[in-house]
Amino acid sequence: MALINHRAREIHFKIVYYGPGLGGKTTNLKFLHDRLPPERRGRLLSIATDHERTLFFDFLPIALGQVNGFTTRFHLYTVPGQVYYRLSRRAVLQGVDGLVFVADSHPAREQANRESLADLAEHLRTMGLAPAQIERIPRVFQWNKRDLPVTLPVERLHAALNPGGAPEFEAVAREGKGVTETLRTACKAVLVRLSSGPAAAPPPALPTPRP
Amino acid sequence: MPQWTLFENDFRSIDLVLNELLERTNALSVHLVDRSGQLITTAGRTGDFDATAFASLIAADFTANAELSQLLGENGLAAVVSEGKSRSVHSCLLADRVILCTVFDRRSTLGLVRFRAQRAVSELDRVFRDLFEKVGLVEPETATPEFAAAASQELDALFGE
Repeated sequence: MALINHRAREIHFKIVYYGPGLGGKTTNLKFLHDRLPPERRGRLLSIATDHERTLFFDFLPIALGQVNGFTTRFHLYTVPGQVYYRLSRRAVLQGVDGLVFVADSHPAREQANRESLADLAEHLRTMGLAPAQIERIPRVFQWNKRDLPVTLPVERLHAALNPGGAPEFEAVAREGKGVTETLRTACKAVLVRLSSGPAAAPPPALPTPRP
Repeated sequence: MPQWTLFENDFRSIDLVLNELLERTNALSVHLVDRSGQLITTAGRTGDFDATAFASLIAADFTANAELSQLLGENGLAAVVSEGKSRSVHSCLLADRVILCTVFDRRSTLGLVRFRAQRAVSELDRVFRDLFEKVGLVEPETATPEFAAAASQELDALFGE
Protein backbone atom coordinates (compact mmCIF):
# COMPACT_ATOMS: atom_id res chain seq x y z
CA MET A 1 0.00 0.00 0.00
CA ALA A 2 1.54 3.27 -1.09
CA LEU A 3 2.35 5.67 1.72
CA ILE A 4 2.10 9.36 0.93
CA ASN A 5 3.80 11.50 3.53
CA HIS A 6 2.94 15.17 3.15
CA ARG A 7 5.29 16.33 5.84
CA ALA A 8 8.37 14.70 4.37
CA ARG A 9 6.93 15.30 0.88
CA GLU A 10 7.60 11.68 0.09
CA ILE A 11 5.70 8.88 -1.54
CA HIS A 12 6.73 5.26 -1.05
CA PHE A 13 5.90 2.20 -3.09
CA LYS A 14 6.76 -1.40 -2.37
CA ILE A 15 7.61 -3.78 -5.20
CA VAL A 16 8.22 -7.46 -4.45
CA TYR A 17 10.21 -9.82 -6.67
CA TYR A 18 8.63 -13.25 -6.43
CA GLY A 19 9.50 -16.57 -8.02
CA PRO A 20 11.07 -19.99 -7.51
CA GLY A 21 14.39 -20.51 -5.73
CA LEU A 22 17.55 -19.75 -7.70
CA GLY A 23 15.47 -18.06 -10.37
CA GLY A 24 17.45 -14.80 -10.32
CA LYS A 25 15.50 -12.46 -8.05
CA THR A 26 18.52 -11.45 -5.99
CA THR A 27 20.59 -11.15 -9.17
CA ASN A 28 18.06 -8.59 -10.45
CA LEU A 29 18.53 -6.46 -7.35
CA LYS A 30 22.31 -6.82 -7.38
CA PHE A 31 22.44 -5.62 -10.96
CA LEU A 32 20.21 -2.65 -10.18
CA HIS A 33 22.35 -1.78 -7.17
CA ASP A 34 25.51 -1.82 -9.30
CA ARG A 35 23.93 0.02 -12.19
CA LEU A 36 22.14 2.88 -10.43
CA PRO A 37 24.01 5.98 -9.29
CA PRO A 38 24.72 5.91 -5.54
CA GLU A 39 22.66 9.03 -4.88
CA ARG A 40 19.59 7.28 -6.31
CA ARG A 41 19.77 4.05 -4.39
CA GLY A 42 20.36 2.96 -0.82
CA ARG A 43 22.28 0.05 0.57
CA LEU A 44 21.43 -3.41 -0.73
CA LEU A 45 20.41 -5.27 2.37
CA SER A 46 20.52 -9.07 2.12
CA ILE A 47 19.47 -11.46 4.79
CA ALA A 48 21.05 -14.58 3.35
CA THR A 49 22.43 -17.91 4.50
CA ASP A 50 26.16 -18.67 4.58
CA HIS A 51 25.75 -20.03 1.06
CA GLU A 52 24.29 -16.77 -0.24
CA ARG A 53 20.78 -18.17 -0.56
CA THR A 54 18.17 -15.63 0.48
CA LEU A 55 17.03 -16.50 3.99
CA PHE A 56 14.46 -13.79 4.54
CA PHE A 57 14.66 -11.06 1.92
CA ASP A 58 16.84 -8.67 -0.03
CA PHE A 59 15.98 -5.00 0.12
CA LEU A 60 16.99 -2.15 -2.16
CA PRO A 61 15.50 1.35 -1.87
CA ILE A 62 15.51 3.48 -5.01
CA ALA A 63 14.76 7.21 -5.13
CA LEU A 64 13.34 8.82 -8.25
CA GLY A 65 14.02 12.31 -7.04
CA GLN A 66 11.50 15.13 -6.94
CA VAL A 67 8.29 14.59 -8.84
CA ASN A 68 5.80 17.44 -8.50
CA GLY A 69 7.43 18.35 -5.23
CA PHE A 70 7.39 14.83 -3.84
CA THR A 71 10.40 12.57 -3.45
CA THR A 72 9.23 9.31 -4.95
CA ARG A 73 10.77 6.14 -3.59
CA PHE A 74 10.44 2.52 -4.62
CA HIS A 75 11.36 -0.11 -2.10
CA LEU A 76 12.35 -3.33 -3.83
CA TYR A 77 12.17 -6.62 -1.97
CA THR A 78 12.84 -10.20 -2.94
CA VAL A 79 11.36 -13.21 -1.22
CA PRO A 80 13.25 -16.41 -0.40
CA GLY A 81 12.31 -18.80 -3.18
CA GLN A 82 12.84 -22.11 -1.46
CA VAL A 83 9.62 -23.93 -0.73
CA TYR A 84 10.10 -24.16 3.03
CA TYR A 85 10.37 -20.38 3.52
CA ARG A 86 6.65 -20.02 2.95
CA LEU A 87 5.98 -17.88 6.01
CA SER A 88 8.90 -15.58 5.27
CA ARG A 89 7.46 -14.93 1.83
CA ARG A 90 4.13 -13.95 3.29
CA ALA A 91 5.84 -11.55 5.70
CA VAL A 92 7.59 -9.80 2.82
CA LEU A 93 4.37 -9.47 0.84
CA GLN A 94 2.75 -7.26 3.49
CA GLY A 95 1.66 -3.99 1.91
CA VAL A 96 2.84 -4.84 -1.61
CA ASP A 97 2.07 -2.29 -4.36
CA GLY A 98 3.48 -4.17 -7.33
CA LEU A 99 4.82 -7.62 -8.20
CA VAL A 100 7.61 -8.85 -10.44
CA PHE A 101 7.46 -12.59 -11.04
CA VAL A 102 10.89 -13.93 -12.04
CA ALA A 103 10.45 -17.27 -13.75
CA ASP A 104 13.31 -19.67 -14.48
CA SER A 105 13.46 -20.60 -18.16
CA HIS A 106 15.19 -23.93 -17.54
CA PRO A 107 12.86 -26.76 -18.58
CA ALA A 108 13.50 -28.58 -15.30
CA ARG A 109 12.07 -25.60 -13.39
CA GLU A 110 8.73 -25.50 -15.16
CA GLN A 111 6.89 -27.09 -12.27
CA ALA A 112 8.70 -24.88 -9.74
CA ASN A 113 7.55 -21.79 -11.64
CA ARG A 114 3.95 -22.94 -11.53
CA GLU A 115 4.12 -23.84 -7.86
CA SER A 116 5.64 -20.50 -6.97
CA LEU A 117 2.89 -18.62 -8.78
CA ALA A 118 0.24 -20.71 -7.01
CA ASP A 119 2.01 -20.05 -3.72
CA LEU A 120 1.86 -16.30 -4.42
CA ALA A 121 -1.87 -16.43 -5.12
CA GLU A 122 -2.49 -18.37 -1.94
CA HIS A 123 -0.51 -15.92 0.19
CA LEU A 124 -2.39 -12.93 -1.21
CA ARG A 125 -5.67 -14.64 -0.37
CA THR A 126 -4.47 -15.55 3.11
CA MET A 127 -3.51 -11.94 3.73
CA GLY A 128 -7.17 -11.04 3.48
CA LEU A 129 -7.14 -9.44 0.05
CA ALA A 130 -10.33 -9.82 -1.97
CA PRO A 131 -10.03 -11.28 -5.49
CA ALA A 132 -10.71 -7.84 -6.98
CA GLN A 133 -7.91 -6.32 -4.90
CA ILE A 134 -5.50 -9.08 -5.92
CA GLU A 135 -6.46 -8.52 -9.53
CA ARG A 136 -5.58 -4.84 -9.23
CA ILE A 137 -2.05 -5.36 -7.97
CA PRO A 138 0.15 -4.54 -10.97
CA ARG A 139 2.43 -7.39 -11.99
CA VAL A 140 5.17 -7.94 -14.51
CA PHE A 141 6.66 -11.27 -15.60
CA GLN A 142 10.30 -11.84 -16.34
CA TRP A 143 11.45 -14.96 -18.20
CA ASN A 144 14.97 -15.19 -16.85
CA LYS A 145 18.02 -17.22 -17.91
CA ARG A 146 17.31 -16.96 -21.61
CA ASP A 147 21.01 -17.63 -22.23
CA LEU A 148 20.77 -21.25 -21.12
CA PRO A 149 21.52 -23.81 -23.84
CA VAL A 150 18.02 -25.21 -23.47
CA THR A 151 15.11 -23.00 -22.46
CA LEU A 152 11.37 -23.28 -22.26
CA PRO A 153 9.72 -21.52 -25.19
CA VAL A 154 8.43 -18.08 -24.26
CA GLU A 155 4.99 -19.06 -25.59
CA ARG A 156 4.91 -21.95 -23.17
CA LEU A 157 5.92 -19.76 -20.22
CA HIS A 158 3.34 -17.21 -21.25
CA ALA A 159 0.56 -19.79 -21.51
CA ALA A 160 1.40 -21.42 -18.20
CA LEU A 161 2.13 -18.37 -16.07
CA ASN A 162 0.78 -15.26 -17.72
CA PRO A 163 -2.41 -16.10 -19.61
CA GLY A 164 -3.82 -12.76 -18.48
CA GLY A 165 -1.31 -10.96 -20.65
CA ALA A 166 0.54 -8.84 -18.08
CA PRO A 167 3.73 -7.21 -19.38
CA GLU A 168 6.53 -9.75 -19.77
CA PHE A 169 10.24 -9.57 -20.57
CA GLU A 170 12.95 -12.00 -21.54
CA ALA A 171 16.03 -11.56 -19.40
CA VAL A 172 19.52 -12.66 -18.55
CA ALA A 173 19.71 -11.07 -15.12
CA ARG A 174 23.36 -11.92 -14.47
CA GLU A 175 24.26 -9.83 -17.53
CA GLY A 176 21.65 -7.21 -16.76
CA LYS A 177 19.59 -7.96 -19.86
CA GLY A 178 15.93 -7.20 -19.30
CA VAL A 179 16.46 -6.14 -15.68
CA THR A 180 15.84 -2.41 -15.92
CA GLU A 181 13.05 -2.89 -18.49
CA THR A 182 11.26 -5.18 -16.06
CA LEU A 183 11.55 -2.79 -13.15
CA ARG A 184 10.70 0.29 -15.14
CA THR A 185 7.52 -1.33 -16.38
CA ALA A 186 6.57 -2.47 -12.88
CA CYS A 187 7.17 1.01 -11.45
CA LYS A 188 5.10 2.64 -14.20
CA ALA A 189 2.27 0.19 -13.68
CA VAL A 190 2.25 1.04 -9.97
CA LEU A 191 2.17 4.76 -10.73
CA VAL A 192 -0.68 4.35 -13.18
CA ARG A 193 -2.61 2.32 -10.61
CA LEU A 194 -2.11 5.07 -8.03
CA SER A 195 -3.60 7.67 -10.32
CA SER A 196 -6.40 5.48 -11.61
CA GLY A 197 -8.21 5.41 -8.22
CA PRO A 198 -10.55 5.24 -6.58
CA ALA A 199 -8.64 4.56 -3.44
CA ALA A 200 -11.81 3.14 -2.08
CA ALA A 201 -10.83 0.12 -0.08
CA PRO A 202 -9.47 0.81 3.35
CA PRO A 203 -6.16 -0.82 4.13
CA PRO A 204 -6.79 -4.33 5.33
CA ALA A 205 -6.09 -4.72 9.00
CA LEU A 206 -3.11 -6.95 9.34
CA PRO A 207 -3.63 -9.28 12.22
CA THR A 208 -0.90 -11.73 12.88
CA PRO A 209 -1.06 -14.04 9.88
CA ARG A 210 -2.09 -17.60 10.45
CA PRO A 211 0.14 -20.35 9.12
CA MET B 1 -5.20 1.32 -5.28
CA PRO B 2 -5.56 1.85 -1.56
CA GLN B 3 -3.03 4.40 -0.54
CA TRP B 4 -2.47 5.85 2.81
CA THR B 5 -1.93 9.58 3.09
CA LEU B 6 -0.56 11.44 6.09
CA PHE B 7 -1.10 15.17 6.17
CA GLU B 8 0.66 17.72 8.36
CA ASN B 9 -2.38 17.86 10.64
CA ASP B 10 -2.13 14.13 11.28
CA PHE B 11 1.45 14.52 12.42
CA ARG B 12 0.68 17.09 15.12
CA SER B 13 -0.95 14.66 17.51
CA ILE B 14 1.52 11.94 16.59
CA ASP B 15 4.48 14.25 17.35
CA LEU B 16 3.10 15.10 20.76
CA VAL B 17 2.92 11.45 21.76
CA LEU B 18 6.32 10.55 20.33
CA ASN B 19 8.08 13.50 21.94
CA GLU B 20 6.53 12.74 25.28
CA LEU B 21 7.65 9.12 25.02
CA LEU B 22 11.14 10.27 24.13
CA GLU B 23 11.28 12.66 27.05
CA ARG B 24 9.80 10.34 29.66
CA THR B 25 12.00 7.39 28.78
CA ASN B 26 15.20 9.25 27.97
CA ALA B 27 15.33 7.12 24.84
CA LEU B 28 17.60 7.91 21.91
CA SER B 29 14.87 7.85 19.29
CA VAL B 30 11.36 6.66 18.57
CA HIS B 31 10.03 5.56 15.20
CA LEU B 32 6.74 4.64 13.63
CA VAL B 33 7.05 2.01 10.94
CA ASP B 34 4.33 0.58 8.74
CA ARG B 35 4.22 -3.21 8.75
CA SER B 36 5.09 -3.16 5.09
CA GLY B 37 8.49 -1.73 6.11
CA GLN B 38 8.01 1.95 5.38
CA LEU B 39 9.13 4.56 7.85
CA ILE B 40 6.25 6.85 8.80
CA THR B 41 7.96 9.31 11.10
CA THR B 42 10.61 9.54 13.70
CA ALA B 43 11.67 11.64 16.69
CA GLY B 44 14.96 12.01 18.50
CA ARG B 45 18.50 11.24 17.43
CA THR B 46 18.57 9.23 14.23
CA GLY B 47 21.48 10.58 12.23
CA ASP B 48 23.92 7.75 12.83
CA PHE B 49 22.10 4.88 11.14
CA ASP B 50 20.30 4.10 7.90
CA ALA B 51 16.67 4.79 8.82
CA THR B 52 15.27 3.19 5.63
CA ALA B 53 17.07 -0.10 6.19
CA PHE B 54 16.18 0.11 9.87
CA ALA B 55 12.46 0.37 9.05
CA SER B 56 12.48 -2.58 6.67
CA LEU B 57 14.30 -4.75 9.22
CA ILE B 58 12.01 -3.71 12.08
CA ALA B 59 8.93 -4.68 10.06
CA ALA B 60 10.43 -8.00 9.00
CA ASP B 61 11.62 -8.74 12.53
CA PHE B 62 8.22 -7.99 14.00
CA THR B 63 6.36 -10.13 11.49
CA ALA B 64 8.81 -13.02 11.93
CA ASN B 65 8.34 -12.86 15.69
CA ALA B 66 4.57 -12.76 15.27
CA GLU B 67 4.81 -15.97 13.25
CA LEU B 68 7.09 -17.46 15.90
CA SER B 69 4.67 -16.70 18.68
CA GLN B 70 1.87 -18.31 16.65
CA LEU B 71 3.95 -21.44 16.22
CA LEU B 72 4.30 -21.54 19.99
CA GLY B 73 0.54 -21.29 20.37
CA GLU B 74 0.45 -17.68 21.50
CA ASN B 75 -2.47 -15.51 20.60
CA GLY B 76 -0.84 -12.27 19.49
CA LEU B 77 2.48 -10.67 20.21
CA ALA B 78 2.87 -7.96 22.86
CA ALA B 79 6.33 -6.71 21.92
CA VAL B 80 9.67 -7.57 20.38
CA VAL B 81 12.87 -6.62 22.17
CA SER B 82 16.30 -6.60 20.62
CA GLU B 83 18.86 -6.29 23.39
CA GLY B 84 22.23 -4.97 22.28
CA LYS B 85 25.41 -4.35 24.25
CA SER B 86 24.90 -0.61 24.25
CA ARG B 87 21.69 0.10 22.34
CA SER B 88 18.45 -1.84 22.46
CA VAL B 89 15.18 -1.68 20.57
CA HIS B 90 11.65 -2.19 21.86
CA SER B 91 8.88 -2.64 19.25
CA CYS B 92 5.15 -3.02 19.71
CA LEU B 93 2.14 -2.92 17.43
CA LEU B 94 -0.73 -0.45 17.28
CA ALA B 95 -3.84 -0.19 15.14
CA ASP B 96 -3.00 -3.65 13.72
CA ARG B 97 -0.43 -2.36 11.27
CA VAL B 98 1.90 0.28 12.73
CA ILE B 99 4.95 -0.57 14.77
CA LEU B 100 6.09 1.79 17.52
CA CYS B 101 9.78 1.37 17.96
CA THR B 102 11.91 2.81 20.77
CA VAL B 103 15.71 2.84 20.59
CA PHE B 104 17.37 3.30 23.96
CA ASP B 105 20.69 2.86 25.75
CA ARG B 106 21.83 2.60 29.37
CA ARG B 107 20.31 5.93 30.25
CA SER B 108 16.95 4.19 30.19
CA THR B 109 15.60 0.79 31.14
CA LEU B 110 13.53 -1.80 29.36
CA GLY B 111 10.89 -1.67 32.09
CA LEU B 112 10.44 2.07 31.74
CA VAL B 113 10.36 1.90 27.94
CA ARG B 114 7.82 -0.91 28.00
CA PHE B 115 5.57 0.96 30.43
CA ARG B 116 5.71 4.28 28.59
CA ALA B 117 5.46 2.69 25.16
CA GLN B 118 2.25 0.98 26.21
CA ARG B 119 0.79 4.35 27.17
CA ALA B 120 1.85 5.83 23.87
CA VAL B 121 0.30 2.90 22.02
CA SER B 122 -3.09 3.50 23.58
CA GLU B 123 -3.03 7.12 22.40
CA LEU B 124 -1.61 6.46 18.95
CA ASP B 125 -3.91 3.52 18.34
CA ARG B 126 -6.88 5.87 18.28
CA VAL B 127 -5.10 8.38 16.06
CA PHE B 128 -4.21 5.76 13.47
CA ARG B 129 -7.57 4.04 13.49
CA ASP B 130 -9.12 7.43 12.71
CA LEU B 131 -6.57 7.89 9.96
CA PHE B 132 -7.38 4.54 8.40
CA GLU B 133 -11.04 5.43 8.34
CA LYS B 134 -10.15 8.39 6.14
CA VAL B 135 -8.37 6.24 3.57
CA GLY B 136 -10.06 6.74 0.25
CA LEU B 137 -12.00 9.78 1.42
CA VAL B 138 -9.21 12.25 0.73
CA GLU B 139 -7.57 12.25 -2.67
CA PRO B 140 -3.91 13.13 -2.35
CA GLU B 141 -2.44 15.53 -4.88
CA THR B 142 -0.12 12.79 -6.09
CA ALA B 143 -2.97 10.55 -7.22
CA THR B 144 -3.23 12.21 -10.62
CA PRO B 145 -2.34 11.14 -14.16
CA GLU B 146 -0.01 14.19 -14.30
CA PHE B 147 1.97 12.89 -11.36
CA ALA B 148 2.19 9.42 -12.92
CA ALA B 149 3.37 10.93 -16.21
CA ALA B 150 6.02 13.09 -14.52
CA ALA B 151 7.24 10.14 -12.45
CA SER B 152 7.39 7.98 -15.57
CA GLN B 153 9.67 10.53 -17.20
CA GLU B 154 11.94 10.43 -14.16
CA LEU B 155 12.01 6.64 -14.42
CA ASP B 156 13.06 6.83 -18.05
CA ALA B 157 15.81 9.28 -17.14
CA LEU B 158 16.99 7.10 -14.27
CA PHE B 159 17.21 3.99 -16.43
CA GLY B 160 18.90 5.74 -19.28
CA GLU B 161 16.24 6.51 -21.85
